Amino acid sequence: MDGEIAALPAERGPSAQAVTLTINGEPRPLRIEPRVSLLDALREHLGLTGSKKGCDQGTCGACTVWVDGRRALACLTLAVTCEGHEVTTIEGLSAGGELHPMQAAFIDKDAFQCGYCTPGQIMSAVALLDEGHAADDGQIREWMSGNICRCAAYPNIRAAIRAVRDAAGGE
Amino acid sequence: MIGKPLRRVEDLPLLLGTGRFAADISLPGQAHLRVVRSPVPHGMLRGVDGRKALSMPGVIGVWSAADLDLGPIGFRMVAFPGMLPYRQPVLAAERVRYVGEPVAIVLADDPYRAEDAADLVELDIESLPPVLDQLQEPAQFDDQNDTEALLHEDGYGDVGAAFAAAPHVVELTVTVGRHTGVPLECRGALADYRPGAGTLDFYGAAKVPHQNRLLLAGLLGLPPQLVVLREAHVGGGFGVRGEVYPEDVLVCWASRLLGRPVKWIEDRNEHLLAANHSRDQVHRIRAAVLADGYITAIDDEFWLDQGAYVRTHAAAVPTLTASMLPGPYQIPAYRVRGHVRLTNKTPAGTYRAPGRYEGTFARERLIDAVASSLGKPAMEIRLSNFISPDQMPYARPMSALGTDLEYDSGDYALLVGKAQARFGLAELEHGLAARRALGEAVGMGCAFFVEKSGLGPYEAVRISVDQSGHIDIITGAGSMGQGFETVITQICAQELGVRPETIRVLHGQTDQIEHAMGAFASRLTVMAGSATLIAAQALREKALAAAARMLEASPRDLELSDGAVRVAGDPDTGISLAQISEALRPDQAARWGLEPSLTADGWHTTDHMCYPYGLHIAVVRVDAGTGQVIAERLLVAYDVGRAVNPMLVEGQIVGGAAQGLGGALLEEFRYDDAGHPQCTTFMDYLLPTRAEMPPVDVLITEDAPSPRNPLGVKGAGEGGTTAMGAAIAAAIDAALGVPLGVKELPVHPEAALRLAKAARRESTSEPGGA
Amino acid sequence: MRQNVLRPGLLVDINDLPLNRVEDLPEGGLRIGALARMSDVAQAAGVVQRFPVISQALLLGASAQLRNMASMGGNLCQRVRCSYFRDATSPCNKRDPGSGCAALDGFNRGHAILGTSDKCIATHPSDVAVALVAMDAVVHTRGPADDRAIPIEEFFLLPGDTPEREHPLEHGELIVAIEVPATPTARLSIYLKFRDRESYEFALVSVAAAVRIQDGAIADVRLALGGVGTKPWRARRAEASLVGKLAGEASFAEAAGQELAAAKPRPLNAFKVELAQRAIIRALMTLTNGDTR
Repeated sequence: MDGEIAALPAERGPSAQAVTLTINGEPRPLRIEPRVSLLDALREHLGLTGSKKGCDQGTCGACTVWVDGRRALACLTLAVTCEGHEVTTIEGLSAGGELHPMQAAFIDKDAFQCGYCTPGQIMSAVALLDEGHAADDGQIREWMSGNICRCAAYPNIRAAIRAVRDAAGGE
Repeated sequence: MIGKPLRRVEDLPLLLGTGRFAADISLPGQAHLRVVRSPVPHGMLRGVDGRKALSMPGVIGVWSAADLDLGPIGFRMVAFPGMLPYRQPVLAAERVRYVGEPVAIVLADDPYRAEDAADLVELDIESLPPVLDQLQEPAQFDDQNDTEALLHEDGYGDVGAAFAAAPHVVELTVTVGRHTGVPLECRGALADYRPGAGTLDFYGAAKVPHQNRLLLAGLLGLPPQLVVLREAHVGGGFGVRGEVYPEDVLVCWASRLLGRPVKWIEDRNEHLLAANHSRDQVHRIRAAVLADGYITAIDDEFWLDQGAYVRTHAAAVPTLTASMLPGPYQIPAYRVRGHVRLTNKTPAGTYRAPGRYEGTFARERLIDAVASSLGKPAMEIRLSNFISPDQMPYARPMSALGTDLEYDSGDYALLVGKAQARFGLAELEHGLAARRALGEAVGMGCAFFVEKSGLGPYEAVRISVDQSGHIDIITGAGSMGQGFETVITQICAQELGVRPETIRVLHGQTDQIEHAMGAFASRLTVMAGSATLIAAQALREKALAAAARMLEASPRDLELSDGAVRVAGDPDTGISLAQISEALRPDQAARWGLEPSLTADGWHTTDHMCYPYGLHIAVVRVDAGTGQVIAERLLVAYDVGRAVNPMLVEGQIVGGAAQGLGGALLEEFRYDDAGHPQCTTFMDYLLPTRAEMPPVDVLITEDAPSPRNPLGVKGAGEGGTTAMGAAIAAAIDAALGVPLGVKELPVHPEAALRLAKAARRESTSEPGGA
Repeated sequence: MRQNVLRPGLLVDINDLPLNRVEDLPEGGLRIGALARMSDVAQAAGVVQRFPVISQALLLGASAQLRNMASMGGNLCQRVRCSYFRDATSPCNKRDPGSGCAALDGFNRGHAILGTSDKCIATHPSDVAVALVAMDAVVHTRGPADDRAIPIEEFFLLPGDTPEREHPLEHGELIVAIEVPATPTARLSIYLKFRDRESYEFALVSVAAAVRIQDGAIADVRLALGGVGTKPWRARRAEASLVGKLAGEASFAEAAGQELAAAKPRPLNAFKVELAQRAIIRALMTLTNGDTR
């Protein structure tokens, strides 16, 4: 193996355990069973209902959050495994009530209808730009394909992503 | 303001993650309900044993049908008495009829514990053979009834004579698969019964809260005024969400039993098993045709797979299928027979363009068949059969959703001409032909359709201005996320000359307004929009009357603009709506002989629907090696009478087109031969992602305003969907060079591959040995 | 687990083990840590440049979010997509040995046509495993007693009479790395995937292909199929048929036909026999700059 393992952590559960998660930069202590998903921990235990549950099986993208800055599906992540990692949700995106440029672009380009998939789309779209995967429409299509929009506002979501990309690029 | 692409007023909470969807709402002390569902498609229910579940920590109780004293769920729409025996019980009592049917409920203090315990409820079911095919002869449903819940027969004219005299008869059989709305938000409900007060609050209502209040209050034996339905944000409706389902009744029943709030949130697997399916029709259709392509009669027989029960929509889908099938064409004689047959599948209801997606597919494929048999272009057949503008209003002696079927306005040929020019169809076809010559399997297909919208009979709106000048618009009609609040705001802002930011739209709360129909049948802008205009006009009159007193002027000399009343030509005299509202306190209003408060009601009532229409064009490429069908472009031309907000109309059409595409190529609920559903996750039930979503060009025209409402509008919610299946089918035919190749939707790769092989055999004239 | 297919008594979070590196080996091979994420492997320079087939299979294998989350070792161990396996109320020899196989006469459109038995016809779902099988990868494991190096074709077991056993891992044994040996053939490689939906779906048929041409003839060729086998399917008959032949549609078609001659289709998945052959031909034509249509 590549390195040494320090000490085996103790077995925990199945009853509720004390866990401290770091959400949007804040330490958030809570008591949850080890089987609780990050999505349920956010929604049911921490009152952060912005991340949405569309399938709970990793197939729709509505629960997209960032773990250590990388996009991940909160429904397929066990909350206890996020100890020591930074979790960012849609609630942490708009600092001080100011809309993130992507949120503003979603209004301007009419990039949603019912709004249910929108938090996941936005978290994915912002990460997409950070990853550098929005160079052209083909990339946007492939790298956003994990976020389903049943209202099919896809063309307008793409337009919003392009607008933010081009504004950031100074074009 | 009207006609402008105003940015949506409802966006902010949805972007910030502060939206309040059903699952986002919680109440102190709530219990969590989990439904135990039938794992078998058909069987006699011999027993439900909840003892193991009851022993689990946190479990409050387990209940089955024997514990309930509730009747079956009633009908909300077009019903025939003969359908009553097929209503769905809240919990299955003696027989289970589909995989997913509610059999028992478990309540616990935590949703995880409720789910754990539900897995331990033991069901004793004696399996029976399932019925899985609507074409099979009717089987036994119960002691008195067979599985044909309805034979709907309708029509007009002498069909027999027309066929006897026709030089050409064209016939085909076509099928549209089983698919449905699948909003991204699953269903959810939170019921709060308050012992003592005797009130029941229900959160998570959608679409038709007022209608559902009557159904729920009736089932529970409560006075409707003590039952309050509250609509929250709704994550998509598409016809599926917001009907009364067994789970809605169960949370209310359990909350009353326990005297505490009860919450139920559906998971995706449940949704695909439990929420209404739709479509799934087989049509055998024939046309009597003259030598010039004029169709003198259509004779259609169809079979609809209704699933296990008849739910709230009752006969809405089969009757709409029947009455709307002739579409834009004259069709002097028409006969239709629709068999609504029960099977052991999830019950079916409405889904965006219900009955029209199926009927349009059958009819437009028939038009293509007529064209092919006469060797004429299909568009020529369409043009020679269109109802002409001078025939408008055009009455077809049938009824649709309880209204006389009378098209209000339209110039179909004009729309075809505009679409051909705007989209450059001739050049497009030229380019495709060039690509075909180089070996690519590409093609274009068209389909024309008439939609219906703006179903009555009424909708109500109340507008109030408070002492700060803030305006509340209250309507019972619901919002499913279409931009409804924006449209209503635009109409009110224009009429009152106020800024949109001063307006709030409150909707879907049954304690705020007495009467409402709701959000279905593309009726909101027509009905609630018209009611808003009428209410705003009344409010304006009242403001002018009060201002006349305040300014000691005649109302006729006053004008309302920029939120203030002025004497015409005297800009210094402005009195704001806020000041008028303050002045209209009860004592002063009484002195002036006016009703207190700056408030006005508006009603729009109608006996007729209005009928928008459109042309769908699909360009597809078929990978002849693998059978994959790739939609390259979709084009939609649609006449909405008048577009209040063109940006939102376009959004509706693009979204509708995607769903039409999904039903044509991807989406299908499949069952195996034993009756087990095979599409219970998003990996088996395939929704279009952005990768399958081609560019959609939309041409919105306003050539035929509706004379039936003061705005002239027609609905736009479904017109992106209706003919997309038919257009894509025609495009695949064109790409492969197989006339009438596609007779079944969705077109899976193996079907396209078969067609491609047939085309090759045809072109090389090889013997067709397999 | 959510669907009650698996009910483990103990779950160990191994995500923080230091097994997430992607290393270039001195002679040109790769060593991929078992916990390396699909996204990182797909973008690693050594993978993109020297083993394009692996990178492509990863990018076509899951959504961007899942690629960030899923590890390479986990990918190899993922369970089958058979709906009867996942429906805890249906008989399934894999989930409940001896209970029967509902897929044999059930809805088996997505099921396997190669390597099947009368106990199980479930398709192996991984994309990247198909590429790794084509590249002769080796799975390195560590157990309580010793370390093992398992050639990847032996890592996936045919269902036979024991479909519940999918790989030879013993209790307590963990995948630590996947090594891919150097081969010049890999530079000219491709992964093609055919499915109902253009993105984000399991394959109806996929093919990993690599070819090296010398003096106009095929010097080396690697072919593996996904979506059609009960394990990632190395198409050795096709490979044997191709070596030494001239590259061209005729030789490709003959090889594909030989490989699929062993197929045992069922009525609903019979289309895969032809689709798989077309996929092989197309992949090889694309690699050899032939007409791709």
